[in-house]
Amino acid sequence: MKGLRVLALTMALCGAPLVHAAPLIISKITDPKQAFDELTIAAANHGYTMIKLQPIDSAMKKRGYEDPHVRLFFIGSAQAVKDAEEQAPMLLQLLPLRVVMVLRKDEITLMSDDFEPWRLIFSDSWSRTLLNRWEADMSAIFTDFAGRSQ
Amino acid sequence: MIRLKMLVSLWLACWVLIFSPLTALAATQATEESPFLFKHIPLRTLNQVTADLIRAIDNNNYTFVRQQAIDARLVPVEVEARSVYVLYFCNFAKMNRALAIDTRAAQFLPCRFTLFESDGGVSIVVINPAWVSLELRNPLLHPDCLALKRDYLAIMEEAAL
Repeated sequence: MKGLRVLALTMALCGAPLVHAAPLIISKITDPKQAFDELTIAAANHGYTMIKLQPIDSAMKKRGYEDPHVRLFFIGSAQAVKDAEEQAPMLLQLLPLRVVMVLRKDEITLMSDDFEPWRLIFSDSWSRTLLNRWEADMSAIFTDFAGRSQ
Repeated sequence: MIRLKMLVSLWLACWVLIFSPLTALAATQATEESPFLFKHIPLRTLNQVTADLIRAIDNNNYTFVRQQAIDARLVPVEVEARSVYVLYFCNFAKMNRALAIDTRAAQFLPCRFTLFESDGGVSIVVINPAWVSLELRNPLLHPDCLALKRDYLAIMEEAAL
């Protein structure tokens, strides 16, 4: 077991300089319809609107492909668009914010964009402020989603 | 126990000799890829460029999905932004392949162009999928993303003709 601990520590140390912040990820046991409703409510609680559900899974199945068990949600706020337009127009590329939903049996996993690479690209204070705010909003939405009764 | 130590040593050797250089290479490549691809089309309106893009998307074996103002469904239709539009499109076979390799491909698929209209014309901006795949650190996904990048450039060039 000591060998395994050494291995784990070594891997952690070797990998440390390469580690990036991961996208926000949250999972819970629920069904897709319930998850959609709960995410819509959680988003609304934090000033965001559910703009679009893109059912990638049914779109792919309809065309004869294997079910990827993935759906996309786009959530946005007029304020986020206004802020980006005025302060950092290139960040409009990230709006509306995207949530990937992965369906595994009765478990739903939500995944956001990873904001860290964008913070490295857009290092000015305006952009970083917006990216930090959107990440915090997304984190709050996911926490709200996770806490909702099933 | 000795066998375990041998396995650990072997794993460490693999890590140092193979994976570390690969990840270092990926990090180097990431700095070589720009996060965005651009095309400026002068003297044309947003409507004209949108029509040209939809035609080019079709010619390059992609399916146009939808277009919308950047603030669609967030503000009343009559006050939507007229100068920033988003255009979604997809090649389902390519999407199928990318999602089979890595579910995180859903972070940049379906494909999206953002169009900015100004007095001088229209600028098309798209997130470079080759940059994204390097950020995701999945070497299996990268060749597909390089192909996707080539398709984006071809579509934008064709629309600009």
